[in-house]
Amino acid sequence: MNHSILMAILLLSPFVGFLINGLRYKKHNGTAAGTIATVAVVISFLSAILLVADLAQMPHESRVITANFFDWISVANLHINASFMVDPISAIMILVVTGVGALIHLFSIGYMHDDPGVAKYFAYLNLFLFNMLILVLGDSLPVMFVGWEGVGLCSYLLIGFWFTDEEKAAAGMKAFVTNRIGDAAFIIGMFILFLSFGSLNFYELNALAPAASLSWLSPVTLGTLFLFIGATGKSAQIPLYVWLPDAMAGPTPVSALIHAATMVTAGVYMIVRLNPMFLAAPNTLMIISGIGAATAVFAATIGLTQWDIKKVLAYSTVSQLGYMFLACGVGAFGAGMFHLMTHAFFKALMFLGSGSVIHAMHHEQDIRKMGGLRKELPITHWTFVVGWIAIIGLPPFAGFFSKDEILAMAYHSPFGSQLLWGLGALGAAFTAFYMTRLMCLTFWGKSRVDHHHVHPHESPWLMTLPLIVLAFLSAVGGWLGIPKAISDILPGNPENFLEHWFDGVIKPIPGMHEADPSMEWTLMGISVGIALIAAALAYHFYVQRPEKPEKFAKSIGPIYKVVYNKYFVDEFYFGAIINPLVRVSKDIWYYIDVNVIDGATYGITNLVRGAGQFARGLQNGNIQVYAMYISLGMVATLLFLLVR
Amino acid sequence: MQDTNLLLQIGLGHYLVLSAILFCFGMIGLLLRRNAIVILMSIELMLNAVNLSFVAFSKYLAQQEGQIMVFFVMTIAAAEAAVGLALAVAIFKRFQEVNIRFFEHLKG
Repeated sequence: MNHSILMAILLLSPFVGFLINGLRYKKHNGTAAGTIATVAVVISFLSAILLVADLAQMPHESRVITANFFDWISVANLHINASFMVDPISAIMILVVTGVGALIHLFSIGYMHDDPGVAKYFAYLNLFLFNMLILVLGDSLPVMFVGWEGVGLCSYLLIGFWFTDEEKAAAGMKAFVTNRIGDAAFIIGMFILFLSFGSLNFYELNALAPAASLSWLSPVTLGTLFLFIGATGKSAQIPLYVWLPDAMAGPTPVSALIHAATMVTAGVYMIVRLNPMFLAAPNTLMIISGIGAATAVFAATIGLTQWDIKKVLAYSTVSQLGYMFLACGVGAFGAGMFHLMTHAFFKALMFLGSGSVIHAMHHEQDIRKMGGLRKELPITHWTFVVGWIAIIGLPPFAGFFSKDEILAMAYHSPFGSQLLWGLGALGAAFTAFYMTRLMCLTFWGKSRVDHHHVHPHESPWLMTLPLIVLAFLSAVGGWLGIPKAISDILPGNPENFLEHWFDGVIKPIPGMHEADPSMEWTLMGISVGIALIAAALAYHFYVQRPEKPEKFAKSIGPIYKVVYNKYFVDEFYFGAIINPLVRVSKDIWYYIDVNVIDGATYGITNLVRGAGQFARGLQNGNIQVYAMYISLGMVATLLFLLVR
Repeated sequence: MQDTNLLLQIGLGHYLVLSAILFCFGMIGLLLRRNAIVILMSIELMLNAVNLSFVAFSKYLAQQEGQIMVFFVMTIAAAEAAVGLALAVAIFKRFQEVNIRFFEHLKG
């Protein structure tokens, strides 16, 4: 089939779904709305498969399918087409977005079936996918930005989906405002790049950038730096990560789709998309890797202390996104994409699993009130176990391969260092600990469920089927990128499929040495070892000796308090930025707005009114006064004629 | 002889100055007096001052149009005086005085 038509179907199918559900938003039939939405996404998924299959058959060096629909903006020397492209990078993304998206839509039918706003919910979800596809497929920064803003809007709408709860509405607003800060930087980045290169098309930018200079103030460095700030907003990195944990106020499938699997990876995707340009800015890469590693550790430590099942997963997402940025920062863009993909599988799985748990527990999210759920929720439990093994990075599950590749690259790459590797490994240890803690408190150990009020039950097949599919993907997804050291000892020496797939669109790291296999084995051994130790420690703490954690928390008192309160970052932002801003705004309102702006408008109205009053006085109805005006006019005319 | 010489010495300028003086008297009367009849008389004075200059120009430029114009002005002045005096009578019957401030009672 024609590629443009396929692309149009891929893009517009969710949009049509959005229109249908959006126009019948008052209907309460959850199954009908869910079916429409899911079918729309499945159609998208099928056309994505067809497109990627065609792409795979093309010769390696010319693997790109573009579809130009119309001229969007044409001003002076700025020409932007509404043009979309599938290349090996966006191919991975459209498969993940539509595939995982379809599974999550399916899950939502079960999860949201008795919600009164269900048609609206599915309309938003489809609109989100439409925008996400624009973001992923756009072949220039402005087209990507349209999707970038669109997903932000849908994220806001879905976080605040239950907007009658003021706290949830506020969480949506927080996400929106925090993202605006990043988006402003994104726009500035675009301006800088357009000023210095005269183009915003990805291919042209990537071709032009490597010739640019490397200093701190060079346009490439500044432009990429601002784009990265944009990415920290969307992808929840320090310092703009604060919105993501609060975003858990939305329905759980939304957290799985938007705030774990797809939207929050947009920043990583954008950097990978522009990888030749970021490689031309080593200073930016240094900052990216630093922020990525710091976020990975920082968020993981907060995850250690949280009691809300979704908050733990949210901090875990922030931390895993940190790994992706760490990968990009050391130049291993392929590893970043790989982790993006595997993370989409296992984190979507775990969010849906937590949704299943929350559903079973009648909307209880506190893991202190769970425990021993493995008997009541066998399918949820076993799929969650797969996700757990995948995220803590035990072979041969997906997370092992992607996280290990990132850590190895952080160690070997000329942009990396032992410090970055150490931070990554520390984050991995924390990850293993808090995920095991979550497993212990939720599924294992003694039940703390209040059996008088809550009767946990396994979810219907609509919800367990996506869990099983995602568990399968989390188990085998990593085999797409088997590292060389392992492949050498496997029968048949399977090649690293992803590395081969990205060949040509993702640049190799310049000055990268062939790693010593024994070193690779050592690194692998260390990361698996610390993960196992941390997991065992958590098991000991939370299952065998459940009184220990509290004692330990007391023994380190103040530190625990600081971490438990998320390092008081929200409080710091309120104290240092938001409140002063509010105060200054109020001052501006009271003094500048009231006096100057209002003063000016009132001044003008008073002037007009005064002029009117004066003119009214002239026309007083006294005939002799009129006669005097005429006489004066006549005298003035005569004087004028005389003087002239 | 002396008399004729004096008459011959009267030129256009004299007529115009007289006309201007009469016009100014009329105007001052119009602006300052409150009695409607006096105001009408002042207007009459102004119109006739203009008529005077028309006639003077007509004579000195040897053209007839000025004199024709004077007939029009006199006709209109007569019509205006008729209407004005009718109003003045109406006002006098009502207020026993023809001060122009009473004319506002004509409205409505």
